[in-house]
Amino acid sequence: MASQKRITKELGDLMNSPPPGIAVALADEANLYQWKVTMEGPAGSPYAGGKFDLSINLPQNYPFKPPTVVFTTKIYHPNISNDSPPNSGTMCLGMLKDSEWKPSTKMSAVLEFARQLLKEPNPDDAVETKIAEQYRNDRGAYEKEARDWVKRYASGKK
Amino acid sequence: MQPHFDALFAESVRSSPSLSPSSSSSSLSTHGATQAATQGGNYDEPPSKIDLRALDYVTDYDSHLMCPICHVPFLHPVVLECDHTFCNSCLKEYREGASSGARSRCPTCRAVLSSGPRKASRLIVNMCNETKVRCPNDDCQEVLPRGCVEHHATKECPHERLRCPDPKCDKLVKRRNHVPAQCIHISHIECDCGAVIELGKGEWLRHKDEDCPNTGVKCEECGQRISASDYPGHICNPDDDHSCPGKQYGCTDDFSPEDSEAHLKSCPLARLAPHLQKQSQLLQSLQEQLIMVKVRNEVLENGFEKIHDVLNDRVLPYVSHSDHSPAEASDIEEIERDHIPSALSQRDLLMPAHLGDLTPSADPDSLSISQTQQHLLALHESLRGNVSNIENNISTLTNTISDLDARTSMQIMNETLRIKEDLAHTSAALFSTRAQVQWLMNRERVGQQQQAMGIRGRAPSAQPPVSNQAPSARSSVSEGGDSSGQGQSLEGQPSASILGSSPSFRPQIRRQSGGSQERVKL
Repeated sequence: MASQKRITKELGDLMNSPPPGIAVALADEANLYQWKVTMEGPAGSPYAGGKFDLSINLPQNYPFKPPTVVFTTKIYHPNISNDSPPNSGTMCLGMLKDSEWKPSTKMSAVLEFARQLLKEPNPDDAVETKIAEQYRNDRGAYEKEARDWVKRYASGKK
Repeated sequence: MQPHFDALFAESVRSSPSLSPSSSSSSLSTHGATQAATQGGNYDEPPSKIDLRALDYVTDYDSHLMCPICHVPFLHPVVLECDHTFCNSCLKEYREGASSGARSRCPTCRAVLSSGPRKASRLIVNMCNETKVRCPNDDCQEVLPRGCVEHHATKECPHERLRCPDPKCDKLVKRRNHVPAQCIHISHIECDCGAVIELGKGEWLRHKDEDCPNTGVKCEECGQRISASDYPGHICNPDDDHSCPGKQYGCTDDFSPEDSEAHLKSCPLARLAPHLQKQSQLLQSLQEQLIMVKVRNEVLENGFEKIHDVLNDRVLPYVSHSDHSPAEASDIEEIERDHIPSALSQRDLLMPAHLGDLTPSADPDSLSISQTQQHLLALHESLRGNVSNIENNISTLTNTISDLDARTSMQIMNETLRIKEDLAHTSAALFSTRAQVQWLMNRERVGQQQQAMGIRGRAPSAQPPVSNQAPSARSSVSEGGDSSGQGQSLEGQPSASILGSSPSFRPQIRRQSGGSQERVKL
């Protein structure tokens, strides 16, 4: 019960005053628990100019359980898995872990944190260890590859 | 977007059983609940009849009064050791779902808690209960502080739906229609609009037809159905009934009275009709004005023509006379020059006595006089221009005539010269013929003399050539129509001259040969 009221309120707030570079909508008008987010790559990162689609799934007992954030657009990032489905695009966000999640965290904070992660990857908490390695040792190659992926998958053309 | 979510939310709230008003008969109010302190930091709030989180909060509330878990102003707030505040129910829910490790931690800061929550300050409770909410009952628009809404919604609100007192009847009845220990559904029916109508008296139909604000009433005059609340202000205009206002501008659609509104919306002609009407009115007034102007114009033209005639008849002769040389003027002059006194002033010249009579108030009103004078002066100027034009025309005509004259005399001269020449030719030919005849007669005479002399003993050897020649010469004259004969005669001439005729004739004959030929032919 409480979850619906809170989700309604959070979604309304996000739509009325969306954070920069983030657009939120419901994936299905009748389902409050499935969100569809479009995120612009932050300026100053190799993802700038790209448009990334995210799918957010809120649990029924939100906010007591964390939401799951999944990138549906392929992205070359140390903290975002590019495995084959069903694991593709899962995001390794510390605050989204079950043990780390606080009910007082708002979705706008989650989304802003995710965008921040695009700007500043966290190689210490990586899901793609190879990319994390490259990020640490050969920043130029990582950035080039990330830009290539943006061009290939996230240029906005479907 | 927000209303949509609210609607969505309200939908799910309604479908949940917890809202059912019959869930509990507890009479504890919200205020009573907060006072129910419990030991051990764990106290129970009374189950509320309505979901206070699902209410429509009409004003924005301070985010500091908002529970970080449910995002609604605190409901029965509790404070943890770490000084974080939550709704009691939210904290309980959190603890039920959390693992054993997280259970003893703050949901916000994860501080390990050794003691249970305590009740939050009365100040916070009151501030939260002050937030304004709307009554959750349908049709009730009451807005009141959250602390009072439960009491209102479950005890006072006339729109609250109560269970029918008859246990066999499963219908609900609004509080205001609720009669204790009696099921009204047997004898009454509750309309959507809230009115309760007794059955079996025809009241229901009457209500639907006349009173019910939802279904509306039928206007007696125009037949239009309008809601009862609009009826007093309804302006009935049956004249305007069911024809399209664009009909006279070409709308040919036929429609029933019920469709007239839809038609008015869709028909472009109907929408243009007021504009078109205005336009046609304007056109009509303009036409009237035009007719008036025409009439005026005609009158003015007539007057002008009159003035013009007068000027032509009376003034122009004088003017042209005074302007032009007597030779030119004499042609059009009808009135003798002496008729104009030399001492006549310019004005008198332009305004003969009878013209003065035609122009009203000419003499007494100096202004109109000067106006007339000016007008006449202008006319005079234009006439002067006309006259000079005519003058030009005349001079060009004169030039043309003299030109023609010269040409004609030249032609005549040429003709005369030719005739003279011809005459000369003729006389020359005549002369030559005479000479020939004379010569021939001379020959004859000489021949006769010679014959006469031959008789007297002269040598006859000279005779044959002469006799041969003579017939040929004679034949040439007689056969004059034939050109070859003529040539013969001309050929014959030298021989004749050799024979002793006067040499002075010969060139003459030669020169005139062409002329003589023609003569002979003629």
